[in-house]
Amino acid sequence: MQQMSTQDHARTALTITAEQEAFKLLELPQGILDLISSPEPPILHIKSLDALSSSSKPAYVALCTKDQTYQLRQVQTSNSVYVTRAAPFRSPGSILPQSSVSAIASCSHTLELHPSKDSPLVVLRQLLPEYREADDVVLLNNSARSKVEIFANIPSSDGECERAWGELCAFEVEGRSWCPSPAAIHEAWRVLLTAAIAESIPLISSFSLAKLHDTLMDEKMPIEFFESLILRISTAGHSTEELTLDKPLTIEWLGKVTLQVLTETNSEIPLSQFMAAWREALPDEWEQDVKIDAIKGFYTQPNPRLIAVKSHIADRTVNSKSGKWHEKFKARR
Amino acid sequence: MPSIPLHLSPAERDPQTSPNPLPGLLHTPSGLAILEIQGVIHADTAPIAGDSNIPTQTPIGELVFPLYDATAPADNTAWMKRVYLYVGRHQRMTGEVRKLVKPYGVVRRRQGTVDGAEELEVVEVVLFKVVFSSRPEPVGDAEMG
Repeated sequence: MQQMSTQDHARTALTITAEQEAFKLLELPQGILDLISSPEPPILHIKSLDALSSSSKPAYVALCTKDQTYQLRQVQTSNSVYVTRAAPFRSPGSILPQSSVSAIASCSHTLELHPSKDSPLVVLRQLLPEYREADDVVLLNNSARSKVEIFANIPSSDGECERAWGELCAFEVEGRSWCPSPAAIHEAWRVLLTAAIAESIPLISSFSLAKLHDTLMDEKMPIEFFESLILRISTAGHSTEELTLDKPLTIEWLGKVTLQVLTETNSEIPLSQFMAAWREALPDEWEQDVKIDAIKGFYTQPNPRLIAVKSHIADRTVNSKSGKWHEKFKARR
Repeated sequence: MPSIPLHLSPAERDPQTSPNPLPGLLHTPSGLAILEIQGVIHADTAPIAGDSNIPTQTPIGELVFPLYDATAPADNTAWMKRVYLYVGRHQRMTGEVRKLVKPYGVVRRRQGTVDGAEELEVVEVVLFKVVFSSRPEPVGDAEMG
């Protein structure tokens, strides 16, 4: 033993430490390694689906950066994996402690990270109570939660949650979050457009959000809701003092909302009725630019005269669960 | 479940209490390394008499890098192909040093967080592992030298 240890770095005693530590081994993809070596590494978050949500999806855990999501998977190791540390060790019969390598933790599994591109849209939709009319904010407020609290319970990055939030026109009033129904969106848009015309606010060129605020202040629906609509279809990256509606986006979005509203009772409606309602929902200047191709992939035509929402989209957006809950709550009052 | 923060660097690094006897390539700031063995170490945890600064350790055997030369250029990695683990007097496992395709972050619970909330931290990033994937083979005393 003594003779062996004279050869530097070539050999060392291997020991196991009685007091084992609890470590986990996390496989690091390049994206996370880059964050670790950045000058100011951010804090990441491990998130899982809210246990209280009634989603039937299997629970999964995600590691989230600011705008990226990795699914965390636990993988059993076939061999024994030990974390070791250099430690002083006095072998029997020797007087001075020597350096050894000591196993301080054993890991029966490792954690793998898989980049996930799943949008949190469906989950977010399920976690948010539905807002259908102005009274809902007053009537149903005890069950709604804050945006921060809801995002914390969705296994996706805050950046992706934020995008889904915007896409749904979700809004927060006094720390409580809501997802408007298509009918509520349609109605709020009508109110907004009417007010803008009455006050000569040019939605199709450039307008100020503050000015629009003043105009809508006395409406029954919360100002936060109107704001979410405007931001949903405005050209991104501009200051709120100089917003412009994104024309193709506005046309597409209003087409989808209108079709959803019209098919709430009858799943198939006459194409001509839909096209007329779609045009009517738009600023006058854009009426002539409506083409059915703008909502390609969203609709289906059982025959050339009828139109319906494509089935897998209908399943996703109709959200029967939340609707039923909504009914029950109202019935109880 | 609320979201659990994962810090990408430790609040404080554990001081290294001992020089690292492993080849330089396997060194990390905290002295942590990864060892993989086919089989399980059944440790007899009888404490070795010694001072209290030295944690209770049970000897397993000896780790030998027979081709390693500390004076050789760092880009010479031929030594990685062979590592021996001698267990007892008559058994030897043969293994190698492998670069991990994806490095491991060694993660643990962060100590001393505000009101004891659960927070995790990456204490080290490890790029290599020492792997013994074959069963032990018998060796005579003479081969030990």
